Amino acid sequence: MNGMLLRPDFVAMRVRQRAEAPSPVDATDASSMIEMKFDHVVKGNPPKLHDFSSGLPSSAFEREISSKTSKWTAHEQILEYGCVALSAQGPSSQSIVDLLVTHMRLQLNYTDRAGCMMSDEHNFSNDISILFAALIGVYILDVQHAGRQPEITRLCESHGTPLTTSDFDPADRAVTAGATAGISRPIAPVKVMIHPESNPAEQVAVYAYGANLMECLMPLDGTAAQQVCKKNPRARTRPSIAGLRKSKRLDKGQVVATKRHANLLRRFAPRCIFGSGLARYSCILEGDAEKSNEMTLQLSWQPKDRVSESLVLRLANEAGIHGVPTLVGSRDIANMDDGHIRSRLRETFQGLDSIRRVDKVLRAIIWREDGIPLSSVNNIIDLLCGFESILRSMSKSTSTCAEC
Amino acid sequence: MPQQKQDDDIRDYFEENCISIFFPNWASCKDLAATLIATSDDEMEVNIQKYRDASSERQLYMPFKYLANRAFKAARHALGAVGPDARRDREADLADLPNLLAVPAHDRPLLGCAGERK
Repeated sequence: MNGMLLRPDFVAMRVRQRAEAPSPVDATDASSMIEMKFDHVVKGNPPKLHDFSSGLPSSAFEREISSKTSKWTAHEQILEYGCVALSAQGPSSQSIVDLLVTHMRLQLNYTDRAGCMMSDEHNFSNDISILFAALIGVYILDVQHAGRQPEITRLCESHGTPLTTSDFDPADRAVTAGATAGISRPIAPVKVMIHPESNPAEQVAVYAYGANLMECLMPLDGTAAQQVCKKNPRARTRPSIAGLRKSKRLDKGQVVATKRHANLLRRFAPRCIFGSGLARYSCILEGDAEKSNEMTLQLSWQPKDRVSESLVLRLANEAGIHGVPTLVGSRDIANMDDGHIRSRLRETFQGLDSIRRVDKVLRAIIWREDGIPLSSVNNIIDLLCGFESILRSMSKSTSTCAEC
Repeated sequence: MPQQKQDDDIRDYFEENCISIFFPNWASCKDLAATLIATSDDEMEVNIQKYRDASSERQLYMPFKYLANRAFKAARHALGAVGPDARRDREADLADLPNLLAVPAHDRPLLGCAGERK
């Protein structure tokens, strides 16, 4: 499959007024992906493969998809486009609607983190306004984006926020195709409303910016790392460097990229959309004058009955445990199960064992990393196991000393 | 995957899906689309005809791009017109609304995702 890739024909995306269409196209900015076919292509179900030996740079998107089977149907292709884009967009997008247009026939594909739904095919040759209606629907969904996760607002400008214009600079968000096919792309900043620990009855805006700190750990050569570390003497590697070493992906002279290396090429590791969609960003509280506080915003979909990390942090902070990040605020900001689509999916697939009820909540937690970064802990089980391990080792030491 | 329709099944599943996906706006979307068609100008008529007459996938691209962007623009203006301050400052209303474009990806690189899927 070398030299061949498949891609949607159009990407519906936000572009500044009077700005030209971007090139390359960034799937992260896609509101919708549009695949166009012609009848003879669809009937045989061959994949749409574009010969990319034209000299245009290859992309990571290409590699991800072309590594899979070449026998994809049109449905599978458009689903994959939607899944990959949704995954890359992280928690700021809850769903994506993609269009499969086969000349005068139209199908819609809805995908969210819990599943997908492909509509029947509709022949609009007698009424082309249906095509327009679907496109208008895509636009309105995009506008309502914040409404689906009402406490997450994607921001367009720094005005009225403690962020700077550079946080919004599209040049900083440009994707660079390099040898590592890495992506250095801070998100378009978002505003999230949370309850501060200092006054839980109050709501305060938190402004998140920069790259997703949950991007895949990337080996970085020593020279580049030193340059960054000279500028940021507090720069540190994440503790999970040990895991990277075990995987033998870290060569001699390489270190693990941290958020202080955010300006360098990074690999983006899309979380499975059927998973939690965990994302962490640097953030600043409303009213704070500068970004020196080193705060982190975590956004993750979790089962409703799971204990929130905010409770663990709160208890640890109250107990004065050293080395645990300070909880600044938290809030459950959206339910997975609150939509019409979700109800419809449940009705449609009721009784099938493979379709389980999704009962998740989107949790926002803000912490200040005074000590051990919480980003070294993957989940609450690991955190509790860590505490247990410490207690056991302390117990053993005490016993040994007593025997002595 | 789409539902399998029985012979005696007269339900319009496409319509039902659209109602569900664009809930609660599908009726408004259709109204606005009908208005757009009814008020179409010569340029739009030409592009609709080009789209209808296309005989290959590649011939769909240009007219589709035009039509899609007209649809997005119409939606943006329609929402701007019902904004809270529409009567006073139309430009400001539009500035708050996203400017969605149908950007061709068939002739340029598509980036944005990398690494192994977990």
